[in-house]
Amino acid sequence: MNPRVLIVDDSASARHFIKNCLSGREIELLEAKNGEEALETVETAKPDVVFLDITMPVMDGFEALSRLKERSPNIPVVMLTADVQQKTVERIKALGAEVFLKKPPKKDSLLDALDQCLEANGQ
Amino acid sequence: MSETLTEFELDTLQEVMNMAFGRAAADLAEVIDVFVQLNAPDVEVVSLDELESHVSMKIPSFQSARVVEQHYRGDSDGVALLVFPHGAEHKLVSLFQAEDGEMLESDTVLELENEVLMEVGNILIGACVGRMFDLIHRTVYYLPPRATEGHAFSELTNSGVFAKDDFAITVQTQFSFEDREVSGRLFLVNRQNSLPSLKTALAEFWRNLE
Repeated sequence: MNPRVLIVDDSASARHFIKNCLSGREIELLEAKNGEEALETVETAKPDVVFLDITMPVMDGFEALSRLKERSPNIPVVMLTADVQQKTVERIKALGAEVFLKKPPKKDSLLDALDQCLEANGQ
Repeated sequence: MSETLTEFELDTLQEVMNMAFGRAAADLAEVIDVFVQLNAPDVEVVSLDELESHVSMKIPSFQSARVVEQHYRGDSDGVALLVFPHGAEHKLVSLFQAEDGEMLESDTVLELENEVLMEVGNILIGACVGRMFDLIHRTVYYLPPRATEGHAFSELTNSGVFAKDDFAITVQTQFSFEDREVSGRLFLVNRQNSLPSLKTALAEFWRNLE
């Protein structure tokens, strides 16, 4: 079975872009529009990697990351953020994200992050 | 408006503004050396005709609100208006006040508040609007800002500088510097002839990252 990758972002164009970048790999792509939807999808679909935006309505990426790591600590998370202040980066690391990428992400960075997470997962 | 943005273009614009504000927060933090939080902006596009009623819906007492106005030219011609609610200037002044918190006489306090508003407005507009145009590879330069009040909106429509079918990108955000929360609304009024260039830039935005 191909690895499952969940893309979480409230922007449809951002999700579309990330899907396009990752579509060349043999993976199954899932989407969620906010942190709440992401947690539901993690429960039902059990993704192998999660790409997670920070600024989203309903539930933001920080809260989603915190809850995700409580329930599924072994799922690697790639955080996407445009705010690269030290305090933000420290918070991302403290909450347990494996990788963070500055927005807008380049295709190569997305693929490198995916490879890093799949390797960490033994895939 | 004779032409508008498609749903995909509007979504991309929202995402570009998210990124611009995120990067602007980091830029600002370096300048004023405090942690800056800029909440995800809420972006809408309205015609200049509808702008004043749109503003009054979002900010009921906007006529007396403090406004920093700054015109820009280049790949896009327009004006940025940053609206602060009453009391914002006091919170912002405290950010720049010396630790001994020396009390100043009233005339000086008023001058100081105006200066601080202009300075913060200039920085915020430059950071947010500048980052937005950077992200879509468009270049603009800024004219000096001025501090004014909410009547600046009716002046725009009455001045003849802008036409009724020119458009405004309205961006609501809340920003905080350390523990001082200040809300603000940013309006970018652009000439209708900037729209084709903006549409092209938005279409190219994701392609350029691949």
